Amino acid sequence: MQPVRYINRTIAYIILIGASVIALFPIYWLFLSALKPAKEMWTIPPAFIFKPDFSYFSSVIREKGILKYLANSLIISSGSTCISLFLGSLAAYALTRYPVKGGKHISFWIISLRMMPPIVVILPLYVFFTRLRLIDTHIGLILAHLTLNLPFAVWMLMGFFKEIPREIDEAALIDGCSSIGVLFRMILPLVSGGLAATGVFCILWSWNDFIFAFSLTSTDAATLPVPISGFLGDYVWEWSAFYASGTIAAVPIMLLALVTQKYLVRGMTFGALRG
Amino acid sequence: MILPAVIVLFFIVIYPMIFSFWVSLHKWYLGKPQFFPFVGLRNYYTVIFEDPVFKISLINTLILVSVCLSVEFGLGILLALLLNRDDIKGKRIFRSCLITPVVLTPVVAGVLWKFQFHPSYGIINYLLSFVGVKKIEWLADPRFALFSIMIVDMWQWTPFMFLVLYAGVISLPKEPLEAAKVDGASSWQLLRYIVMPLLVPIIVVVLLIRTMDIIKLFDIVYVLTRGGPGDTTEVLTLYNFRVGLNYFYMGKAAAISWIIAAMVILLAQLYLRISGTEFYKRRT
Repeated sequence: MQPVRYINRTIAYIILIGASVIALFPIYWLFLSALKPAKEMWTIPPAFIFKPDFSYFSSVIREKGILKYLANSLIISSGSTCISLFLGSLAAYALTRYPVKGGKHISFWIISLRMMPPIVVILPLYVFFTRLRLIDTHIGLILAHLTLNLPFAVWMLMGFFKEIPREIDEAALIDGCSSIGVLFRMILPLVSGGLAATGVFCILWSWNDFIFAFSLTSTDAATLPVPISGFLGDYVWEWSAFYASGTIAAVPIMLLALVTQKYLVRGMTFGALRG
Repeated sequence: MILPAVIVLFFIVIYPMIFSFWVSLHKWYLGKPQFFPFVGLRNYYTVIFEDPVFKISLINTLILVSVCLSVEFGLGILLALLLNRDDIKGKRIFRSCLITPVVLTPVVAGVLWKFQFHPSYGIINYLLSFVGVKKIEWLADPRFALFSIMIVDMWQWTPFMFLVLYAGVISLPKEPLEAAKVDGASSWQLLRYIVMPLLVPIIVVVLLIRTMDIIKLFDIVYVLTRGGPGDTTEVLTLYNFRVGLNYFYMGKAAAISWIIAAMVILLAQLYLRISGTEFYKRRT
């Protein structure tokens, strides 16, 4: 092997490993600190080996009621995801299979809504929700998250539906299937991977969202990021509560993301790119 | 069948947006909701020409867009090209490692970094002390606060840039590269004249997506500095939020949100034009 090539390769490895370490270190730190006993928390240089201590988790559950926020996160993300997938697949099916008048405009218009800055809809929604008494309710936040998830689901599912050949629909229609039947019995099973990926992204955005939850909920329907943002206040740093609840918020979403790695790029670029 | 989705979107997005535009033409303070005089474009004029904080937040957002995007793009393309080398093993592992920051809840990422920015107990000052740098008040010092926000944004989103560009690099057609190699092109020439031109549409798309994201940036700024010290790290969306939901000047807030929306709509149109072109579809 030529020496120059060998050196280049070593440099490439060093840079890649360095980047991976920087990417992972804060997350490693989060998990590590959630288990670190209090007396070793602030030692400099930081302690890396210690006896794990699970007391932060139990105290954050007992004192901060973090299970309620976890339940809210689960209810709101699954609620908005299910509605988005259901309405989204109906709309995407019609837009890809039938010559809808102005269909191209409708689909462009729908994805433009996904890119709209949340604050533009938050201000009027705040006014409406106050009048309708939907502030700090699960339904309110689910509706608010639909503004992100529904346009996204329509657009992503259109991409997956287009990959299914029309002949399959036609065969099923000739055999006497209704068009709704074609969608639910033929198309959806065929795109189950795509459907799952779209669902995971809806969950991801709902789970990670802060601005909607922070503006439209306070306690009863608040999702995990809302209490987490408050643990490091101007006067008190409740670091043990943060590390434990941060871990609770981070782990599920990371596992989900690892499962759908294959679709990550496609989802995050709104279907513009196959990863 | 499109109707249910369109109806829902009408009620939760379109109608609120029309309402918000209507509000933006009025003076409306939520403390006195009955007082709702029509003022035309007065709110827009005030915000654009007479509001110093809006100006600061606009400038800060532009700084964040230009600095974060150039660093993230530079590092992202470097990592993508390095990982694409034939002699690198463990490609999947590196890719998985680099994915994790992208999906971490931004609020958690922000608070996590807030610890590391702590002047006495944070790991950043600890590492810097080895090279003789004195304690830096990362978040409390106006000279460093915006820079600290940039670091968090770069940490979280450089991997995204890498992922997208890597997906682009591995799907490049092999023939032009082979042909150029046969003709004796150096690896720099390959990069400059073949790889980069072929990647242009993807690069434009990812830069547009990130620009829109930074215009919407809220969570990490709120968690790290709340726009402070003073107004030095105020950004568009945070300022908009404050005017509307902390001070309750709804008319003015609606006007600001429409200014932000106009910027984003422009970028979104560009995005759709480019990602919809035949050239782009053939490439992906």
